[in-house]
Amino acid sequence: MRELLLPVLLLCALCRASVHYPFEELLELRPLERNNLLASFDFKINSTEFELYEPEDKTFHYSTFSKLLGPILQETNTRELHLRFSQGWYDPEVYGELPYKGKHSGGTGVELWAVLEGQNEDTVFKDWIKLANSLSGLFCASLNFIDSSSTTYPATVFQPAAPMLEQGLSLKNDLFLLRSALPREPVCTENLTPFLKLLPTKGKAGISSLLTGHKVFNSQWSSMSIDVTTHCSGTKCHYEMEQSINLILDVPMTLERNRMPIPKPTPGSELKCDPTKPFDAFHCFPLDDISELEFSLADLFGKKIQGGALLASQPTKICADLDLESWSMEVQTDSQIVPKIEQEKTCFVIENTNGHDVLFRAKDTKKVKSLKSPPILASRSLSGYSQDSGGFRIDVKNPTDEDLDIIIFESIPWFVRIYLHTLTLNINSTVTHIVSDPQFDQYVKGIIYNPAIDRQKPSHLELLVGIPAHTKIKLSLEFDKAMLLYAEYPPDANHGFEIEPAVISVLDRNSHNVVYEMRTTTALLTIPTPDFSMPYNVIILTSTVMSLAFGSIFNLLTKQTVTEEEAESRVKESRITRLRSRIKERVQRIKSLFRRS
Amino acid sequence: MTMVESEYIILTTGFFIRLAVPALYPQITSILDKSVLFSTPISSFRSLQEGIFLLTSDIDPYNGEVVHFPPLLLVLFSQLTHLNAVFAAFDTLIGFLLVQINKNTKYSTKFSSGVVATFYAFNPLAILSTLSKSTTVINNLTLILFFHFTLQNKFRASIVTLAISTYLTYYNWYFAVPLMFSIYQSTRSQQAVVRSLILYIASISALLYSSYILTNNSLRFLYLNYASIVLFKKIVPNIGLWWYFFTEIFDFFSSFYLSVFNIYSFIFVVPLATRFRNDLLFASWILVGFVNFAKAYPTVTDLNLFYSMLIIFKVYYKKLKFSPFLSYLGVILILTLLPVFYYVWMSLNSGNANFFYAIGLVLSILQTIIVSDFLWSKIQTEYFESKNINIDTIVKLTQI
Repeated sequence: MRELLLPVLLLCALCRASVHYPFEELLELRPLERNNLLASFDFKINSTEFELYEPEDKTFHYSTFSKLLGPILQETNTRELHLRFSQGWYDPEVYGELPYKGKHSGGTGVELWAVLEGQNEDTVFKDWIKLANSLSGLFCASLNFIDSSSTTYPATVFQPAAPMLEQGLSLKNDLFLLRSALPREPVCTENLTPFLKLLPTKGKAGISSLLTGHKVFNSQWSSMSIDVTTHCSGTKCHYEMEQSINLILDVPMTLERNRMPIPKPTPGSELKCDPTKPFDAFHCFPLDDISELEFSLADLFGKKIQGGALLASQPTKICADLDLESWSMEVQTDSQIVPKIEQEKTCFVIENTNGHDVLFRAKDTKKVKSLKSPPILASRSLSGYSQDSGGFRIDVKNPTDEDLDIIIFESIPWFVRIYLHTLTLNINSTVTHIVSDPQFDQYVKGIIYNPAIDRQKPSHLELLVGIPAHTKIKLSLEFDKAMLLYAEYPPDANHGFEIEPAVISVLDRNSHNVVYEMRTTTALLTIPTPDFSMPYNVIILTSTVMSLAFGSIFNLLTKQTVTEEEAESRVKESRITRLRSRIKERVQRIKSLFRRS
Repeated sequence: MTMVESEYIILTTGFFIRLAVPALYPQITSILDKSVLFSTPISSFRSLQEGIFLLTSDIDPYNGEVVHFPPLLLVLFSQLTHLNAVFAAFDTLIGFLLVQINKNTKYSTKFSSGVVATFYAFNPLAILSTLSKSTTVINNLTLILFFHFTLQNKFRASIVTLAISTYLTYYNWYFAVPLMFSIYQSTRSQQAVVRSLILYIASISALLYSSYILTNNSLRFLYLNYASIVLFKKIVPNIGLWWYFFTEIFDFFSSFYLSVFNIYSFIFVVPLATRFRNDLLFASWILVGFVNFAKAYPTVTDLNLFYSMLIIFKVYYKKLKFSPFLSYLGVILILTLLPVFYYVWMSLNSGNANFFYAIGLVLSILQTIIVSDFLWSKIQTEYFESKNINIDTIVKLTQI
């Protein structure tokens, strides 16, 4: 047996060196202002080819494509799948535009959209629920709570990314785009583990070995994304999957946490106060952020890179976008690696199984490559203070020199009863137009509105808005809040309900393709709550009042009216009274008999 | 100046008050429309505006669940402008019809037309109801027009009015029962009753069918207009008894209690009509009061119809336990407390739903007391009349 094992192992080692699978991975690091660091992990996986309909060969070779995901996609006729897990707040004024122009970033919580093929809306919806339930189990997320009351059919945004029909493949059925979001879902390490399991390296080698839950979710902002698209040529199709994780790390805070896991206030002797301002034993204006930093990947992620992903078609690549005047980068491994400059980025590749670490040194961290500012700045807030009504307010600013076309996508739960006629547009805080004004249409060029149906469908609103250069617009919309039934309230009803982020897409003016996409924050909406300890009291009190009314009116309508004297005489004549008086007489007689004796 | 002229002058003054207030203070409509007293999701002005907006911008208003108005009403309102004047005119018409009804009743004692006109024209409840622009004003108008025609024995007109009224609001078909009784009382022929019933059903069917055609052959308006009320689909606090009950009731019992509450609201329709078949105006009026108490989405505008018609029944004031002045004051007191407790719950968060519910319960009790007080007074008066005793003689009556 042993004699056999050695040649087999040798053979395997050989094949490992020669066979490459359709898998690529790339880590990009980019220092940002205020000592933040953007880390983008990107993985690309292709499946082997298969036939879309009735494959002759029922066996399916997944190769590097996850065997967990493939059958789910086939079973539910999913042609495109997009899944996002995000948390934290992305501040575009500090971090610049979103990585990949927002293509891979989701709103807070979990977001899922997919293109499904099916005969009609009903069968597709069943598949959609099946897909959500399967993904829920796969990613340990509450995606099973997706139902018709949170599902929308976007009309202009989230459109299929892959041109399915480019190679002349004729689809048997129609394609449907469905989307849902769970803004309340806390994204955590149990979502990261299955995410890594989808990779052929399983988080054991390559850049994915850096990803551990307690470091990833210590970030200021994190977004995990999975995008699966189907590409066909002729009748042969294959899946392309792109997985990415984008993190914004506060470097000094991460280093501080390594040094002192339980945070303690800085002792007075170590405080650096601003000497230009008054300071003494009780007053101190701390100096600006630290400007000299030295940190390694192991400091940030707790681990070194555990060698390259050797089965990948391209070797594992790590790049850093540094301002080389004040930043330097050093690869720490057994052998000597000198990073090369590629397209203004400092890059190196890993081609062995040794541990690699990268050390960054900065003389002045304030000197970073200038940020690309986003083409659009937007925020959404709630207005009104009452629990029974309120309003949305969306502020959008176009800081660029060009006029922009944007689409604002909103999916609002049914218990928020929006009034579209209250939609108001305000331009640069000076001019205000309501929706029925003719001037309103100059800015808002199209409205798609599907009103909500109680407990079945959310309100779905898409607005195509043109914003002139250097202009601020404000859109506001009023709504009423419905009360829920006793059992429909979540356990902490007074916490409020999260309204999923509005999605704002910037369109290219000519091709109408989405060139930038961003999401606002979630909104926390309080809705009126009953007193949860009251059911029996309410039932008893209401029923009492109702029976009181019934009894008195019923008596008035049915009884005969007589004078009081007549009533008394009638009572005297009645049988019961006669019977009673007879009994009384008897008792008297018996009593008198006893007295006599 | 004759009496006739004075009542017209008073009503015109009332009309101009209803025009002047929103002209001087335009926010009043939205304030009242957002108040729990004057608006429910079924009848609020902002839902009406939403419906008109959706209709004019080619979005099907019956796709969502905000619009609960019949299609013909929506189409009518989408053509109307100067809504302040329209609602003021509607309300003044109610006042005018009230004066007419008061004139035409056969009661021995009644207020002069001038008093009735003054009472309605300057009635704060009526003015606020008008300014809230809720569609309940139109409901009130159709009902009082129906009472007016019935009292004058113009039965065809009254049947058609009632059909329109039923088309607008679900509960109004209850009044078909006293109407059929009055038709029988005056014609003494069962055929006439059957014919009226056919006319009534035909008118409603015509209205429903035209709505069906108007909404592109969709029956969803039926669900939104009538089933939403019967099945109590919009749980929003109001001054009635239903909302807190159905919020708190366990889902399992919900359908049982829905049927109980619906039967309850209907339960006195036939008994009232049979007991007071000699005075069906009174029976209808008591029915208005009882339905206000037992309906799913009552507003102050609904109460306004009942408390305005109270002035017609002066003849029964003598035998009341509580004078109408006192009960009116009680109602006003509760109606000022209701928004306060609502505000404490919704905006200040220093009280909870129980405060508002409790005051709503007191209002319901008060309504019951007023209704049964008037019933008892009517029964006593009837007794005196049947025995030919002077109403002022002191005879203590009871029921067995």
